[in-house]
Amino acid sequence: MKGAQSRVIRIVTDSTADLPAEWRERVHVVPLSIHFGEKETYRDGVDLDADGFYDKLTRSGVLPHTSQPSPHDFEEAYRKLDAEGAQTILSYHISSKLSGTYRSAVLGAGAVDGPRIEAVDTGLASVGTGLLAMEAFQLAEQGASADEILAVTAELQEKIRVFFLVETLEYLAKNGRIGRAQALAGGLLQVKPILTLEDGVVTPLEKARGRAKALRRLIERSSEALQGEGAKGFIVQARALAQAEELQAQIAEAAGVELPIVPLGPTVGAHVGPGALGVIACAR
Amino acid sequence: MENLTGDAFRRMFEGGLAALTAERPRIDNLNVFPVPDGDTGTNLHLTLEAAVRASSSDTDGLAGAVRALARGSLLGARGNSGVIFSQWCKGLSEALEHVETAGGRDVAEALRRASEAAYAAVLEPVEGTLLTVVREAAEAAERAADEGAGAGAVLRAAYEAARKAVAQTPALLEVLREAGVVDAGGEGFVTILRGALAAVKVIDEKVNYSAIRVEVEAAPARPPAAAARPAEAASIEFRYCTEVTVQGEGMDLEATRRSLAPLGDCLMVVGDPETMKIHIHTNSPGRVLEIGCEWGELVDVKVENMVEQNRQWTSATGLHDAAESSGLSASPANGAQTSLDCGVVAVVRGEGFREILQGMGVHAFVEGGPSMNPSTEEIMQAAQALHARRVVIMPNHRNVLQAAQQAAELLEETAVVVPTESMPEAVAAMVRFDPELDADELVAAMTEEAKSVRVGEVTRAAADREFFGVRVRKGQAIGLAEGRIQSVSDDLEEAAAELAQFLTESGGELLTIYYGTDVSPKQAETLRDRIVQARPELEVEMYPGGQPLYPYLLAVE
Repeated sequence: MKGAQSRVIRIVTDSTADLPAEWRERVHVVPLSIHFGEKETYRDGVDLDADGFYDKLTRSGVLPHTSQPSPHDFEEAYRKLDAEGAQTILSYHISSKLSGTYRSAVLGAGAVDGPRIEAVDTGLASVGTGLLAMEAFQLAEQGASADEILAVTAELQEKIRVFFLVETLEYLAKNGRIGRAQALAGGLLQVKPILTLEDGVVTPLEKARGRAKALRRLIERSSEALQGEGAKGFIVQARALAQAEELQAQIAEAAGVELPIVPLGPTVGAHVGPGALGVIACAR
Repeated sequence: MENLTGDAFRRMFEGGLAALTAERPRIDNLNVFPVPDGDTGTNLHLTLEAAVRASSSDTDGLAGAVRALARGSLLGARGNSGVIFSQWCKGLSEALEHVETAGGRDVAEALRRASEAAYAAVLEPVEGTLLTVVREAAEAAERAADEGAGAGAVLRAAYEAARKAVAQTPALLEVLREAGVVDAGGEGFVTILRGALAAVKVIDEKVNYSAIRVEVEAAPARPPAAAARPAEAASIEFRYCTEVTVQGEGMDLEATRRSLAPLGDCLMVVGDPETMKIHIHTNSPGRVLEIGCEWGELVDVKVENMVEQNRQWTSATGLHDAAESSGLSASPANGAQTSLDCGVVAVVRGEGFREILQGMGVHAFVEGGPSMNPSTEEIMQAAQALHARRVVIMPNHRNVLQAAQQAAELLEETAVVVPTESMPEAVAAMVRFDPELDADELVAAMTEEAKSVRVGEVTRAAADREFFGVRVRKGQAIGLAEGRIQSVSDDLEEAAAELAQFLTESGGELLTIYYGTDVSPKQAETLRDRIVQARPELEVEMYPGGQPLYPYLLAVE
């Protein structure tokens, strides 16, 4: 019975979820597209990986932009899973305030008859979304029903905290994702905000002068959020591996959890820019 | 002179002003540090000038004269000495306001009350300053009065004691001793007394101060609208900014305040039982005028439509989203409404600092700083022009602190002071500016951030001087921090680099260089390179501050 059920619930996410490589076989990932100028277009994680993206970014001097998957892309993905025998599809996506991906998923789902399809606006990004998709997959494996999975992930979604720093607010600003941090951009003085996602929108939590101080506050904030038994999370970084490792060590010391380091993929990377560093924290 | 009349009293203040006019440069030069920012003489002069201007328009005996004088000095007070002096005047006024002509005992009593008021103006009174001088003058006056002296003899005793007290200030205060100067505020006070007493022939003075022409004319009011911005039109609940000056007798300020309070917000009633100034934002300006009429005569009425002002302002500047970009709006993400809940006023010197602070959310500026301290009234005007529900004031210089505090007190609940002593401190404080905090939390957070910064100043010595064992020649570059000279060199960048070394000795991650008008960006870059080379682990940022007199300001946090 358990095996049968797990086969009929399939989990979908999009490429902004920055799933670790081994997870991309378990969870179906629909890619967003990255455009360098008019002509060059890549599918996130399919024909452009994180390393390749940051190399291109530093070399090309063009500010890349990204585009959400079309409803048709989702329709195709759902049909494929339907053909593979899926009875229920749970589709977890990046905050609808940051991307139209969720809308496309809802429209795509409407075009598919047959399986029950639930698209979820996680209000999160990167491994924040990914964490919910991974959790959903594990629950399905354990034989949970679709409604049980949705209830658990909805509860979890409320507990996940995202804290991040960017080297410059320019990328968020130019891509229109700057949200409530707008007020901090364009000032003459360099101010490093500690950013979060609040109601799915980029929001400054506090400001700091200097990268060192901002990093210290990031560690403090993350460690606070990781208190308690069973806390987990990820460190995400865009070409800031050395600092990510420093962050990993300091959080391990302060909160007693060693968080895996995940590179920010091309889509999120294009929006936050190289040097961005963050923590996805989830206390049980 | 047995008794002091209103007329004599006014002549005394005019005489004091004349003496100060002549002695101002000398008092300005009584500077502890050999830096070109001595301004105590100028500050006292401007404060006294405001007092004399106010009193010359009032001829109602001694009581009228002292009240007018106190009012004028309170609003015109500049610099810490100016503020202390204005409080001294206020004490004097309170003691004399019910006296027709003052005898020796009355004068002594007034000097004692004045001294007490001066002490009360300072949070942590320091001996060896203006305070010691006014206190010893008052004590000598009381002794003279005890022996039955008349007003003239009491004043003479006070003057002699004040002179001696000034000469003693270096013995009481180490910094004065080291600098080899007497306290400038105290010397200014003695100068005022000398001119005052000479004017009524209580003492003979070789200098004929009365020959000095003192021109007192109405100062042109600063147009605060140029610096400040009215609140967003949509959020203006009360449309008319109404200001009324009422003259009468026995007016009750508190009762007036109570009857006006229901009519609007941003209410301010200041003054005394004879003259009160009302400021309120209301939709019933007529009712405000009626209440004023119930107490006395309206002498000055101004009613402005803030909604209309706002329309003109926004169309003139095109800065529709200024409030949002400054972090003020209650909910900028959905842009539904913006309201100037909490405004910020900063005293600033230098175009670069102005731009930086503006980018961080400061709404209005008062020009001032070293050697150019703004008056209490200028700060009040800038704060009021914001039409904000609450205002945070950052004085940004130790000599402006008291004037800012006096302004906040006169503005009552609406204003608070974050006691920043330099512009880099203000920059740090703005990092923590959050209009959603309540006043106490906001002041605490901003102050904490400001005081976490170590600030150093590089300037050129204005005089040859030895100070705490450091010998300085006029024109040499000196680095100042924590009240001491930390570096001396013929080379500006050398002095700055050494100062940077001192400031970072006990830690710090970020060093910010603000260069002034006297250095080129290229020259400043050589300093930055030098610091980066010496301390590669340090983050170093550099900005044009545009400040005069101080080629470099350094901030370490």
